Amino acid sequence: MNGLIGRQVGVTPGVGSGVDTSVGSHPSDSADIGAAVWRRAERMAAALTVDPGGLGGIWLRAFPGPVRDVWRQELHRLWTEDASMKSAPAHADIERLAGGLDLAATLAKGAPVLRRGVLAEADGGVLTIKMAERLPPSTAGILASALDEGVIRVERDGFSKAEPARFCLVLSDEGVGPDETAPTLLRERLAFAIDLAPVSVREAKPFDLTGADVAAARERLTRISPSPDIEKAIAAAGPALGAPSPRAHFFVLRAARALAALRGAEAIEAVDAAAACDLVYALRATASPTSDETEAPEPPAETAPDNSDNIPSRDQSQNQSDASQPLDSQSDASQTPPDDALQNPTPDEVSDLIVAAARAGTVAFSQAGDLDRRRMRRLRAAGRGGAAGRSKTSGRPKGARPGDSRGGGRLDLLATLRAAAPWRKLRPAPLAPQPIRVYPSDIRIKTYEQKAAASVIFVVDASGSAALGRLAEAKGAVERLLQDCYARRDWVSVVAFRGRAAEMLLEPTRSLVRARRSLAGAPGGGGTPLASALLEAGRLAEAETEKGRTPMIVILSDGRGNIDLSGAPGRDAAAADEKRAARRIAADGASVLFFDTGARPSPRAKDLSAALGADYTPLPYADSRKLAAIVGRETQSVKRARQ
Amino acid sequence: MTAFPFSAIVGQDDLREALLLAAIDRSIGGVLAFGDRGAGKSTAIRALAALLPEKDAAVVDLPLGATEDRIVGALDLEAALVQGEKKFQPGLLADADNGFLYIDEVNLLEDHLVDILLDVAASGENIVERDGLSVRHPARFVLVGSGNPEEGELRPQLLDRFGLAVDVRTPTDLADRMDIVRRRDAFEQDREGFAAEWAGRDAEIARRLVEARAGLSDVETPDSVLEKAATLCIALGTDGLRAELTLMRAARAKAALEGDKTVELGHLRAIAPAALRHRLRKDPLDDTDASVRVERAIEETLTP
Repeated sequence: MNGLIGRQVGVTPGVGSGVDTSVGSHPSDSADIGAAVWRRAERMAAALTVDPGGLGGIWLRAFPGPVRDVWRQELHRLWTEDASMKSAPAHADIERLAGGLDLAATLAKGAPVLRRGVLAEADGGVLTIKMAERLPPSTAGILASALDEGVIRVERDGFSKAEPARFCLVLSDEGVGPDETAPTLLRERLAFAIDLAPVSVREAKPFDLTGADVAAARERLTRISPSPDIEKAIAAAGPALGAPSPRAHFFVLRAARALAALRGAEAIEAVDAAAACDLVYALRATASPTSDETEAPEPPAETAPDNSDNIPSRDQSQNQSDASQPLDSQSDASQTPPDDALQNPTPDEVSDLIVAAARAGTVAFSQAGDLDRRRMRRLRAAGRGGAAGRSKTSGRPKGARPGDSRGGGRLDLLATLRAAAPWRKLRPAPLAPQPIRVYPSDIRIKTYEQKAAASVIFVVDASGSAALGRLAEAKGAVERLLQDCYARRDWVSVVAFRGRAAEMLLEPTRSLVRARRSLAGAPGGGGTPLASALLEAGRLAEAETEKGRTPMIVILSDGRGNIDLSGAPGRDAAAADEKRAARRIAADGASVLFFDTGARPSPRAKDLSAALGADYTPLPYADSRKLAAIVGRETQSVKRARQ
Repeated sequence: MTAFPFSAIVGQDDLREALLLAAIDRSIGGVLAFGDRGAGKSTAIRALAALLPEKDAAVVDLPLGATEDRIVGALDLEAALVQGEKKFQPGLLADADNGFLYIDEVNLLEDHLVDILLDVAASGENIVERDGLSVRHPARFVLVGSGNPEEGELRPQLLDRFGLAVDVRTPTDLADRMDIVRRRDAFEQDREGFAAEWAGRDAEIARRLVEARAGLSDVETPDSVLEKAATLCIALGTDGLRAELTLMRAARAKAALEGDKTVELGHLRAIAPAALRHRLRKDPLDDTDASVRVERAIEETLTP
């Protein structure tokens, strides 16, 4: 789930190296980025309004604030007045989203009445999910199937009904950092993604478009079809950009059609296709989990003469404005010089153009991501968002049991009424305003299942000569743990450290498939930046706690760190940094297991272990079986202690 | 709502065949389609629903948000509130009896619901003891699931319930990809029209399906093929009889689908990966893909 941004971090440096300097040396460029992002956001809103069914919706990453508000306001303005605008928080009950028994109406009528869910209410309009980074997988699954089918199936509370639910989904994501994003499951089903972080309030201007423009475009939409050349170019662009999903490809076609319609054209032209590719693939090109693997062939040399590493930033803004031409043409046509390539392009040129446009978009977004991260760090330093505490009345509802609500139990009204309902005719008639008589024996209490998920964070020393063996054993332990993780619902991640800094080798996952992929061929050797690893582990533990999981840090090291946090060698500075990082972890209260992998137990490792508040175990010959067994046992006991 | 026509699906031959085989011989035990996002898993499964002969029970959707009472069935609230009568309202399991039960994103299904499914799928009977009701009814359904392993793995017990498992991959061929998008687009523009265009080809597949069903009992399985199937299972170390049974049933259904009267080695080879790949014991230190291991074992054992 964290693949997108996590991978981006990996991809960006090469791309960013050329870009970062330009941002640094030309401050005006950073303002340009904001304006460019806003233009993209406008085009996305417009296209979504024209063809919501074909495009699904948008993943909108933005902090609460005027910029996001303006965007949403403008999106709503483009829709017709009678279109339904609904929003729901990520933690909304499934009953509220899908629909369920309407108690008030049921009691009034004396027969079950279905209350429509938000999904059905949003039919024909826009549905915004707030704080989508917190969406539980099951809710995401429900939204996903509604997007797929345009129908919401209610199989709840005795009702069985399918209601139309065709809406444009806005996944409003306020996630902090790469660990917190809206579920991939949903993001993948939406044509667009954008991060509004670089846009300043000044730049967030109302859109030039009007509802009438959109209505006219809608009218034109079905008549527009792509020429075979354009169709082929679009098809070729996806794999070249490392986005092999046919779904994305389909989105490009629909987006191109919507953009053409907005332009007032009767056919999809190269500009539309290029702009659509830019909008749809900008994120996917680096987002696709398979992008850097076998399925994404390198673009042939003639398609991409520029290595993406060194596209000069001038070209990007050039491409940006080319791509934005369709919508800007009325307002600032004079700004964009006519481009010969767009007048009469050959199929190959169209293909080049599209790939180049999407590349530029990718670069622009990477920058946005960087800005985003910088801003987040500041926010983070300012204060921490509420780590969710767990109460007795939270967790996964697991049905109801008879009882009373004294002692902190939560009344299950529905179950109570269900219990009382069959007796209605047999019991004395209820007093006037009460439609039904409830006896104490009818009272039902909600029960919750609190299967706290543990998140095991392996911190593995990959430095020095023993590195390979240690990594291999840690890898074995991770896979062993994951094998029975389904039953235990545990998450596993791996931070490895060697050379100058720690590296996130495996983001928290429950997937064996992903673990294998990430852990294959991890390198070893070099210095021992233990302090950096502890810092990373602490950060990760914090993020996991915020997600409601119980972190458990497992350190495999001999404790002989020799690289400090700045990346400079030096045993003493390293030791001091390690202590500081350790105290921070201890202060956060994370459980830590310290396996001393040195040939003989070292005082320094014991020391560090004490500062961490860790359980210290000498383990000169790490073996995955033993490791997995100990860690498995400890996570169980930590989880039990939490409940 | 009109479904995408089964015959208009581009590629996905394995998945389409697996679905047909499961429809020919229900005792094969359902299909699991696991793989890449957006590759059209649910499209194929929903398309099957539209294709099945009408006298078949429907393909019942089990949405992720379903509550337990709707799955197993519960007290009929309407009857209880209006007539004061205690009546059983059958759930999705009852609806799916004799039909298909489809769960999209099956790996995201809540644990307690998975438990129910496991129990009922094993016994073919749904026993309801709730709301003061005591009901039992047959619930023999073909379980069809789809999902992406990157969202989370499937519980091994549930995995075992699926007769066939198909690895769904994103098509990489440019022409295929263009066809997919073109057809999808045409379908979205005019669902009825598109469906009508393909109705003939769908009907042809439906006809083959019906014939295969009728011919299934006449298909003979020679001992030599049985022996080969057993050898393959032993070579792969797949536990229990389920693997072998599924292998034979699927091979027989495949023969019936092809209009053959005898199960041959070719049939066995064709269906073995789908019947076995999800039953291999996982070796944490062996990175080899399950499908590759099955293919290798087939090469070693299933030669004339």
